[in-house]
Amino acid sequence: MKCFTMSTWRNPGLVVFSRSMSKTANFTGLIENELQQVSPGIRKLLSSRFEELSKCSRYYTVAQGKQMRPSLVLLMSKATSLCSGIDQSLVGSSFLEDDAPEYISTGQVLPSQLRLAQITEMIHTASLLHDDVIDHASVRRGHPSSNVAFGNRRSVLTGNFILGRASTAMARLRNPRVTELFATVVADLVRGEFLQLKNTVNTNTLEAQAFHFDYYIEKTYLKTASLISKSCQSAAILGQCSPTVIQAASDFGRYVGTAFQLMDDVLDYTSKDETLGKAANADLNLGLATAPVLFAWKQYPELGAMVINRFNCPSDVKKARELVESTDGIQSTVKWAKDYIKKAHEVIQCIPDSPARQALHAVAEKVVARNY
Amino acid sequence: MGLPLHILRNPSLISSYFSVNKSSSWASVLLKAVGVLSRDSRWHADLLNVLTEEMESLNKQLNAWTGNNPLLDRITEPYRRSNTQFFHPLLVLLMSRASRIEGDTSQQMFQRYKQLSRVTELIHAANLIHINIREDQSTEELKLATLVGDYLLGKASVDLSHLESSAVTELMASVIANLVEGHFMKPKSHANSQSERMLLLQSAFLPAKACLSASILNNASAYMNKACFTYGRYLGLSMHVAHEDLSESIEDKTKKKELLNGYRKNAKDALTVFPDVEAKQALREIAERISIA
Repeated sequence: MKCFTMSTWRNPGLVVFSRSMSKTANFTGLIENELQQVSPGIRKLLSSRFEELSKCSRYYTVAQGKQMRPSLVLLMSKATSLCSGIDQSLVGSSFLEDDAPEYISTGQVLPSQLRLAQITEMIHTASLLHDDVIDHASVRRGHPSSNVAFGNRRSVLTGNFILGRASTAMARLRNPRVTELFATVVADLVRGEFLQLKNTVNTNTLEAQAFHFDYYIEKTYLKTASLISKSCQSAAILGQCSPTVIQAASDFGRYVGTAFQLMDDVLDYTSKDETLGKAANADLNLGLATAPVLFAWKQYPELGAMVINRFNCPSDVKKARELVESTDGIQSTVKWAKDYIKKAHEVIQCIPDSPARQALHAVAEKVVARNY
Repeated sequence: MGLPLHILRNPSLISSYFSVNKSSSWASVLLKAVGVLSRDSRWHADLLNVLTEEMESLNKQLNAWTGNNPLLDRITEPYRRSNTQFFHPLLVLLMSRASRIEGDTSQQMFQRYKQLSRVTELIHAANLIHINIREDQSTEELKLATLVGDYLLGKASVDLSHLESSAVTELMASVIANLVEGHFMKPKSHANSQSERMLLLQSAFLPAKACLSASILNNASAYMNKACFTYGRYLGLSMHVAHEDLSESIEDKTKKKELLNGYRKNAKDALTVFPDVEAKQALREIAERISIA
């Protein structure tokens, strides 16, 4: 583990993150206790006397998924607690001259921040349940999707139930600012879905290409990055951090979230069904143009017609996939994701260096290290 | 039939409505209540009018985003055709007035009443749209129905957060969960108490918690809060029992009538603590007018 020294703290410009660390970092050890409380806590928040409803609402909490969102919230909480938490000196050690030089704080996670991590995961789960219906899914995380398992209506209603319970828990945090942030996340998620309903530009031109990229980035923010960004931001708010740190947390979440979605879109092209746990090329089959095909469009104008027609013709999906593979569409997308992660590394430099901050770097790096 | 929308949009038509229609019909009772509100100050009647306009503009927004999809009307029909359209907002506004502590209310307060009533209507509409999702619908219809309901819930969440009342957020968020619980609950006709739980979840908690929220926004006393909640609760129960389609579990018609009378009485009794005579009268008449279809 990297040693936390005062000189490191006083030089926020010093990049202490080392690439070799990312491969061996066991960052979950830092938040192991809290992470273990996320799923059980969520199950308690979703408790109900009606067995059917309990079964449905717990459907996506048993197969835990990656728990990336709660991990980020918890790590951000721990990392930012060193800015203004109970171990943070007010005057600095040069005046204190304490006789306990070995003491290194690893930071804390407040109960409210743990609850925030649970709420974040609940909102995410609710959105998955609705997505299953909207996307007419069949498989998720290697199991039948919720709409297949218990029907469309129940999927939607269960999603509402989880949203209701999450919002109730949010109210009990008694922080109007965080409540408002999460309310906007819900609105963002919906808006993101509507953006995917239809193309608004139907010409096959360079202008249209640029427009589609903008559209794609906005949709990516609304559907993926918004929740991650605002939950990180909220963690810093609950930790009573300075505006600078709160903004840094928000930006970090946004960059990591965007990169995450970009890599997800790459995997949709490069993975076989089994590894993914869901059907590959789902995006093309839904008529959605993601980054790889948008990059490939620059080289193959004929992709433009397919994008505009939302890959309607039966041969489109296969053709598009082949064209994408013959270009550097995948590589361009990965590079784009890596650019975002680079920004993520930079933006949290203002937070004191610590194992928790190192872990945030590691998580960010892991996003673009996914095998594709 | 519920509140005639064209009259809500033009409250000055209320008196001419009464010259033509029987004053004891459900719509009339509701309109009378609207009249009570508009006499209070011109803000209140305007609030309902503005609310109908706001809902209409949401509809326009949805049309814009879906390219005027013809399925949109079919999806929103369970809400537009219901006889409870704008009913809960009317209750909220009456309760806002009934639970008000002495003194003039600022325009800001009226805006908060309207925001709360809008939240209530949005949650109500979203629920109707979502519970009417059927498995035999086309993928497109399923998708749209889900999205439209979500749009309304998203708006409700944002509106709630703008009220900046953690208590109201807690209450109205729990209603979203209650409505789902009520739907999942299988009716068991042999266990009466379980039956009532289902009625509460499906039909009573929404008006009860909305009425209570209005009282909370007024910083009213605990006594008043309880009265508002109780009235809303029993009014919701009455309406559920009276509405024939919903009450399959209560077979015996005499039993049904007994139950309804009991609920109606409890609702009216809760009103005794309200000092405002006009609002009290309107609320009493609403409770009295609920009868088995």
